[in-house]
This record gives sequence, structure tokens and C-alpha cells, in this order.
Amino acid sequence: MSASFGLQSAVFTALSGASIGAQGIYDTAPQAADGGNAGAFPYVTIGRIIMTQLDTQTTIGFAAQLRIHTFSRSGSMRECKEIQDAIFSTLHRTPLTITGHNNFSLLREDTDCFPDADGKIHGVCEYRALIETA
Amino acid sequence: MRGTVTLRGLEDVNDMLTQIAPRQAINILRSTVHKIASDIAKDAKTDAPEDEGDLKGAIKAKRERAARGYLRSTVRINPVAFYWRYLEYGQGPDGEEHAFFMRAVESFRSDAERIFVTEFGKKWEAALKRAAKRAK
Repeated sequence: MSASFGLQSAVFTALSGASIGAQGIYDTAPQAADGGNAGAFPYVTIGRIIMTQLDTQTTIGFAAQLRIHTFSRSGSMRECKEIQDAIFSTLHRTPLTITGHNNFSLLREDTDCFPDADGKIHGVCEYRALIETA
Repeated sequence: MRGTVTLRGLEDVNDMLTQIAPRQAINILRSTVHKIASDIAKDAKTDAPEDEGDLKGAIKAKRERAARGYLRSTVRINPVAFYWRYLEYGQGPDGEEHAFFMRAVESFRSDAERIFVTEFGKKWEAALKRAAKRAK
């Protein structure tokens, strides 16, 4: 399993196992035929993961920058921020179990919440993970 | 094996550094920081999706005022390309999360120390050349 997919799976498993207050956790959110959202709000998607090689002389390692999106349609920022806090409690400083790899650091670096199209509230959190091959 | 190296002109070098360092060291560091911000802006422009809009032209590095002892340059986007956020985070018309800023920053971060030292070295050499030219 690649480190990138392993990380995505581990994040999905961790978020699915915690009660973060979202109706669904997706890789790509389901779309309606007209291109609108088909997922029940609020929901979370695991966004882009940028992997950067970070080897040492003896191990193969990666620094992974990972985005987690939160979408809410409650009409206020509150729901979105509460979900972001729950994700923070689940992931921040909690190394994940990744098949074939060791994840020895996972930190939230950034978080933002802003109004989006169609009355949505869009939250973006960026996490940085350090991973090495087991 | 034993080799001998003779350095000539150290006094000149010393004079040059004494002349340059206090006056230009901060300027060299400032331009190094700005060069790095410009490179990040350039990378973001390269990765930004291209259409009829103004996004690529709106991404610019800008020197900023900073507290004493700090130097700062930021990468800014002209409000004319207000929609950058939708493209960056995947809420644009194509629905793709382009992440052009994230990629640009990550490519710098992965090699930050080397890039900084290299850029500083280039600026330092250029300053020395200018000073040497003036000294002639």
C-alpha cells in the first residue's frame, strides 16, 4: 500500500471511528445529477495529500500535507467549527496506524472557515504528517 | 602529500566585508527573503489553472514591513482574482482541488534550508562584486 493511500485510509478510519458530528466522510463527495451536492450535510471530505520525499540514510520517509474539508449548511459557522474541533481532537498529535509505515507525527497546522457558494459553510484544515517505512 | 595555499588580498577582503556587512547585510537578507517569496509566487502561477481569468497575473510577492529584527515578504493575490480560493480548495467550476499554493509552499518547505543558503550566497556574491567594482 502506498504511503499516500495508507495515510488517507488511516485518516478515514480514525474519523469514522470518532463521533465528529458529520453525516458522512468521503473521498469525493457524492454529486447530484445537476452537479449539486448529494451528500447529507454536514459532511467531511479528505482532500489533496501532497507527499514530499524526506529520506534519511537508512529509511525512506515522507512529509505529507493533508487537507480535510468540512461542509455545513446550518447557516452559521458554528457547526463547521465544532466539527473541525472534533477532527482536531481525533487527529492532532495522534499518530495513525498505517500499513507498512510508521506515522510518528501528525499535527494540525492551519484551519479556516468561510462562506461558500449555495449557502454552504466551508471549513479547511491542513495537517502535516511525518511517515517512514516500517 | 602536502600543499601550500597562499591567500593574497585578505586585507582587501577584510576591508570589503567591513564596508559591506553593516551596511548591506540586512538588505541582502531582505532581498533573499523576497526572492524566496517571489519563487513561491512563481511556482503557484505555474501550477494555477489557466483560463480567461486574471488569476496568474494577480499572484504577486510583496515586501512587507515587519517588527524590528524580522524580515517579511508575502505572496498576495490581487482582489481581481477573488475566486482563487474556490480553485485552490476545489469549489471551482471544474470541481478539482488544484492546491497550487499548497504545492508551491510544500516544494519550498521540503528544501527550505538549501534554497535559503543558495539564494543568500548568490545575493552575497553579487553584493561583493558590486563592492569590488566600486573599489576599483
